[in-house]
Amino acid sequence: MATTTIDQPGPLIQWPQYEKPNNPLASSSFSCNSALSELEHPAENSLINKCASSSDTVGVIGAGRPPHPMTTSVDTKCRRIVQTPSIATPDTNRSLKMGRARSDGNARYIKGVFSRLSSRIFAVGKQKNASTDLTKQESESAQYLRRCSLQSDKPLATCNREVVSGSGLRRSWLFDKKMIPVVALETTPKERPSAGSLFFRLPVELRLEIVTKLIYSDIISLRKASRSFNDLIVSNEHEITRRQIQVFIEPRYTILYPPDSPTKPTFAYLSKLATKSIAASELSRALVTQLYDEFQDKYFEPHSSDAKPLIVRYMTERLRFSIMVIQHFLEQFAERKLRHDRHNGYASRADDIQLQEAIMEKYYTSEQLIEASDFYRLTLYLLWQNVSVCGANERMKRIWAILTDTLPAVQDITKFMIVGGVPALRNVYRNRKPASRRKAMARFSTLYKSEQARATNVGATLLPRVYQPPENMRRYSKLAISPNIFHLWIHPAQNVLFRNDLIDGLNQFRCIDDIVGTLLEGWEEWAYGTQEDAESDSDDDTEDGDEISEISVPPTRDSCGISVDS
Amino acid sequence: MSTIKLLSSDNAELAVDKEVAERSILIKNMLEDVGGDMSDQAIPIPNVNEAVLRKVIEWCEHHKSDPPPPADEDSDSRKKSTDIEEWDQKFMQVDQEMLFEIILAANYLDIKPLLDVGCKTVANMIKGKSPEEIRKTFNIQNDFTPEEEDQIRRENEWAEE
Repeated sequence: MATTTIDQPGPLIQWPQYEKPNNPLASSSFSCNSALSELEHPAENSLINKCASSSDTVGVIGAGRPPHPMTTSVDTKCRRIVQTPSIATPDTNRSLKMGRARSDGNARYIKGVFSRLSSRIFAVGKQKNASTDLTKQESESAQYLRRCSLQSDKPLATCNREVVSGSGLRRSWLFDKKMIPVVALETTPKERPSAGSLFFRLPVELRLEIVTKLIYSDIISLRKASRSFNDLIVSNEHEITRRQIQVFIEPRYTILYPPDSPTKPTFAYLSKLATKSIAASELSRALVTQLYDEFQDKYFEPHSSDAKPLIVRYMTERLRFSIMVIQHFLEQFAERKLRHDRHNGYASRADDIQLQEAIMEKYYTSEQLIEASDFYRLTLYLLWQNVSVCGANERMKRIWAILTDTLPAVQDITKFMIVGGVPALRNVYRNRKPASRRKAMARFSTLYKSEQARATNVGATLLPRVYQPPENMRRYSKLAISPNIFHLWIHPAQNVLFRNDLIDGLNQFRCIDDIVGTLLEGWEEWAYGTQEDAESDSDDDTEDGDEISEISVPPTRDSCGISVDS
Repeated sequence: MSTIKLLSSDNAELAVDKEVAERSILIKNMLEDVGGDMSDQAIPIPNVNEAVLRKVIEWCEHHKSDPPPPADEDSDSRKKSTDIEEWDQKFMQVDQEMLFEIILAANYLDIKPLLDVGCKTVANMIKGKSPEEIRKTFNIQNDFTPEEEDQIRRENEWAEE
């Protein structure tokens, strides 16, 4: 192994070229001497008084040497040490033989540390068995540095500053590439286990306890993280799904879409439900946004302009479940009609209406049916706003739309609702402009017509498919759908409501602004807290109860939605 | 108020109010079984070291007046499952090793609410994160083959829209 010498410094420390000392004690004598000489300088006495008063015995070794040229640095250092007395340590006397510094001799202590380090390093270079001693010296040096760094308020940085000015060495001496890891190694705590290993040290039931607190999308992310997480989740699929249903899914949703197996529900069920829920949420949000943007002045009470996001969120939440009901109804109707038509041939309109009534009575409560009926009509109304062409040149626009086949016929809307359902409607609403939505609906109609032609062996059967149609479009391509928009949901719902005495007359069906009023009911309390809360914050002595009752009662409306002041 | 002593796995004896200690169903049952006064004899808690036991006692002291958890475990579970009280959040601001030790201790001592808070804290480390972020948090490697990764992705395409 190569021996480390002074001329060829070892790997531990690179000595600066311009300050290479002649003997191992050079650095200590130099630094102490320079410090002493500066302390004796009369001009600086006022500034370094505290340093000078306790350092008269320092610098014995280098007493005969000329003062070091870097004088100002010593002054600065002394001032700094006076400001940070906490750097002094009880080990000072033991560590520094030459310094004999006490609590106020921090500068000398650190210089001493350096001197001692330097001398040891040089001594190492002269020894024959450098390889073993070097390691020992390394460790000792690092311990010194570590002690120094741990005991000061500003650990290593403070230490470095003192040493630089005191010994006249460059700061880079301490920051030598080889030196830093030694310090770092000494100060690094023992390696801690990762969160992953800690997690997998838990018993399985505790791991599951953690996983079941996550919502399904987080569980999917966790599955994708690693094989261990995936195995944990997949092997406990039924338990996790059961807990998801129990904790995160409202019972009304599971009544509408019950699990494939009540005892052993699967992730496939959760995925299916999540897909439907997302479609319903997105469509709800799109409809509410359209309602707000296009009819704000017409249907909404005056409110702050900042309130839009809150209103949209509140209305979306209220609309979502009804959209799920509509989605469920459309799916059920399409599927049952398909089965019915296959067995009994094409159904009459009366059969279709009867089938729809049966679905409504079987699956939905009266309240759900009333609310969903309102929101279905609202949905159609908003959809129609996209389809209809309005503006100054309405006639021209309509002709152009018919010529270019970008205006779907009314009967196409029925097909669109049954075959496409809520997901297709959501896709249409992903287009931001009404014209784009209209075109999207027209494309859907064209594609469906093409599929119908294939299914009935007319014309297009021999032509290759240009687009890959959605699964539903193929499945329901043979359905005979009534073109009358009122035959889907509206008439059957009316029949059920009449039959169950839930309404007495058609005038009890709510107008659009009445429906919007229902959707908005209670949003202010939801967004800003109850009136009682607001009142309790203020110190008013007014008759709170009267004011609350006036505000909290929503304005009554007649069936046409005209406000009636109470 | 009577005091009992708990003996940690590293033989540290900690005095604690009986009422506080009885947040642990394990200790409560043990005291009931013994039937007598345990003030002169320390109850050994062999699976929990002193540091963790002190943390657990700290939690029990703060929550000593809490009503007992409902018998039907699902009755309250519909509220947001990862919501944690502010004090508990601060209490759980410990290093990861201690966090998992607390979970294990709460499980061993049968302190359901503390176990719940611990599990929620770990769940919050996962919540809303991408698979890559979870890997970073837990310091784990992606050990899937591309085929496996693709299969999971295909199974959950709806979530990536």
